[in-house]
Amino acid sequence: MKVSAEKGDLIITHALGSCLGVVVHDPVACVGGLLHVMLPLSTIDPAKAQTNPFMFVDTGFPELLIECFETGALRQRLEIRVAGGANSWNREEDDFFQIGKRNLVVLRKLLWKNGLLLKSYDVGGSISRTMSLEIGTGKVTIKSGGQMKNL
Amino acid sequence: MSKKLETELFKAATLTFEELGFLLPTPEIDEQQLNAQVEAAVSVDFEGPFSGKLLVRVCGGLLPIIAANMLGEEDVPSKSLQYDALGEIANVICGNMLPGIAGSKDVFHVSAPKMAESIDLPPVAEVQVGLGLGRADLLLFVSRYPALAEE
Amino acid sequence: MALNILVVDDSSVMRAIIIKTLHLSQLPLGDVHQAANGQEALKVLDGNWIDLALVDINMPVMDGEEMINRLRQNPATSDLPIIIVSTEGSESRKEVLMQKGARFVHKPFTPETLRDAILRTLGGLDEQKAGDGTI
Repeated sequence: MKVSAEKGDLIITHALGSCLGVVVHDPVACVGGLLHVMLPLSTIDPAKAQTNPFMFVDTGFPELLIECFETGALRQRLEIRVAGGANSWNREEDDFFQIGKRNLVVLRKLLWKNGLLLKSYDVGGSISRTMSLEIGTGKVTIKSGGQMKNL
Repeated sequence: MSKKLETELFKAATLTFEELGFLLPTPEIDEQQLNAQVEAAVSVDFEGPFSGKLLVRVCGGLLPIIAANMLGEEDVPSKSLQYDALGEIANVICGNMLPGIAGSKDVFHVSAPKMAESIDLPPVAEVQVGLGLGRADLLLFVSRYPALAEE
Repeated sequence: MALNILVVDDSSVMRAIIIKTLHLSQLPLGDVHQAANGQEALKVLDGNWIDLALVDINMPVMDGEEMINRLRQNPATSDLPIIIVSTEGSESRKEVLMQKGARFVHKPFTPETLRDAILRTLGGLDEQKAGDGTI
């Protein structure tokens, strides 16, 4: 996870397969962060969650928010975007563990409970994504399958 | 045909519990889930080219969790809201299951959910879904066009 | 300009979900009214100016389809923007309702999907631009 208030910073994360890339940005304070989470729930390994909360959606996302607020972001101005959550196979029904989908369910539960909506999202499918955040502008770019787009 | 009914019922249940209930359903039931105490059951009737009833029963402390998740609240909702929430879950599962069985051309009327009563017919399909420490049992009854049940 | 919205669904939990989504969508909300069926909804419409109605189909007493038919027959509400929020899976029934000027949001929905449908209906979002990403 990386949070920054430096306008010139560009934060990038690669290989978002079933993992989720979650971006939070305050366009007024120019504070933002990007979190790369792998698994939905920390209950499967509480010891690991203590040392690396950013591995799990249920511990990582709250940490992302806290650090952004501590860096000067305001809740009511937050723009949240998410990418990733892909299937391990081409068809969702062949993906036995469905980690990508489960990551998204847990994230959505946290967002809903905290009264937050996504500004935009690019999730699912079966192709890995790269996600980047420009702190100064809040621009989020997704690269996937040779294509690039703004989120 | 029974296999197809179970598949469509499971698909609709998974979709609904994930998207509306923010739960992570599993097809396998462990011993704790199997022995979980029954809390509540609701049913919805449907009428169309074939008619019947879907019964949804929850066990193992799920009733307040489902309602709290749907509302996005920390506090335990009132009993009335808990039953309302379960009823809406049954309504959404039923509405999503029927086109999977009948196709998208047929029109069904789905009645308001109610507390489940005992039913004399055997179910034509039955599915169990593991949900955390509890489970949901879904039973599909068809009272008209029994040929559907026997295919 | 404050928006007065009517939410029609026999489930009080579903009405609460929709109303929470309205509040989180950063819309300029005025009064938000609720009704548990079509008949109650028509009474609300009789006494209040409503800018948008979010309507379920399967409801007791009077269902959403009959409610919409009656709305459209009344000159005062013939142009009322309507979004149907329902599990309705029949393409023919959906087609009939869309021809009566209603948009459709399928249950279960994400709050973003409902938000975007509302913005599109009220003219605040391009048809090409959606919450799922590309501009």
